[in-house]
Amino acid sequence: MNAGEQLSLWGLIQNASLLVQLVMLLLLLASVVSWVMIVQRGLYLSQAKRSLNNFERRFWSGADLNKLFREGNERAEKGKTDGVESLFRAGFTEFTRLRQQGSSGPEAVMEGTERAMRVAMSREQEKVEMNLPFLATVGSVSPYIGLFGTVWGIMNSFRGLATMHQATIATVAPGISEALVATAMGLFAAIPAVMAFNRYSAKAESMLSSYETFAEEFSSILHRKVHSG
Amino acid sequence: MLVNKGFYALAIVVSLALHGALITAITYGWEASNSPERKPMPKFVQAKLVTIEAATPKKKLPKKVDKVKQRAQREAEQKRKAEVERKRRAALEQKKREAEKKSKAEADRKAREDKSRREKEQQEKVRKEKELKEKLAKERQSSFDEALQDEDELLDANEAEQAVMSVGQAIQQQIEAVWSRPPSARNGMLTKVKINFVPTGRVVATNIVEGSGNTALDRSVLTAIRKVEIFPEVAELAREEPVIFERQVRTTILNFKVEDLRQ
Repeated sequence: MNAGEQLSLWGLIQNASLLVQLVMLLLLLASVVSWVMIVQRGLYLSQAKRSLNNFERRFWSGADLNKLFREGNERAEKGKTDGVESLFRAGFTEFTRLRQQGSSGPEAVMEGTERAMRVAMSREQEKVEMNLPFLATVGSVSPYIGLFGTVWGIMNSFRGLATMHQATIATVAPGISEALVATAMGLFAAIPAVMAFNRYSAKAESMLSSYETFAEEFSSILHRKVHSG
Repeated sequence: MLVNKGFYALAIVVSLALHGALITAITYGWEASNSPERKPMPKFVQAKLVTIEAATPKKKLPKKVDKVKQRAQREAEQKRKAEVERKRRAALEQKKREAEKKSKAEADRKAREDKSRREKEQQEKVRKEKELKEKLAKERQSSFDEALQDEDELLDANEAEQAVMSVGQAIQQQIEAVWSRPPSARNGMLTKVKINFVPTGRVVATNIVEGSGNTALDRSVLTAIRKVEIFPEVAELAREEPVIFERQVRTTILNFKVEDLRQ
């Protein structure tokens, strides 16, 4: 092993044992996938936030609910409704359907509407919180995986040391150095994942709470409508 | 969900680009940081006797040639001068032949005497010069020979010294290869050990001349010496140069210093 090979990063990775190499590969994959999720979640959440603001502005501008519903028809057919709009559509569809049947009383109509909105709500929650568990897993587990690779590498380099007469730092240093690459990679994968998880789960929480608020407000409007008409 | 798919494609591209950029950055940054680490080899100058030998004859030779040339030149000049004078004298004589017939013979004789005397003086001078030069050359030669001898002696001594040094280093290396330092050893600790050898290269006695103050370290040195026990280099030296062995290696004093410990 010459000095140049010893010091270059690729040399370190190539000289590592198979298990450590596997660990490194796993961590690299985890990092790549978690960055995919980070970017995707960031884009999705900012878009969801934008559409929420957009819809709320239209909703509270005093437009007629039927008109608002019809405006969304086209998008609903393409399956493009998202977030709070799908909540509104589910509730309003159920409400008009129950009202048209006429047989059920106002309490039953309200109950049915609220149930439909709850179902839509849980679907939305699923969408918003999608991929966050993966980020949490990467964030909490990849340091351990990296540490495992390091411990394994150090174990091997110390085993090689046992056959030497005199223990100098030069006989173990390359082994330890290449083993530590695994820990570095673990931390490299974990840190962004943890940060993204914290940030996106807070965002998702606030998004869901604003959905909930909207659902309450919407059902109070429908309630007024049922009891007035 | 269609929107989400679009996001995924973008996200994958971004993520891969990010990792690729990071890997290339690390690879190039890493290599750049360790390429100028090569240290220049120290250049050492070796002084040798050869240069003196080469220089002295060079100095001497042209001198000799010069002197010879000078002498030849001088002689030629003198000859030329004498001829001119003789010619002039002959002319004078012819002129004076009629006017001073009496004094002519006298003057002639005088002139001849004068000339011969002068020539004799000249010869004497040349001879003396020659002698002086020879003497000087002899002196110089002898002093040069002396210097040469001195150098030779010094060289011999150096060779012996080098042989002893290399054997000492070999001994030290062999001992240090099996020397396991105790955990209480600290950098800078020095143990001076006197080792007695027999011509077979075997160690017969070891003594601490100057302890490091740490008995465990001193003992570890003695243990290491005992572990090696026979030093083939010493046996070889005793076989090839018994005088040097007897004079300098039979009782060797070595220093063991604790260095390059990481603490």
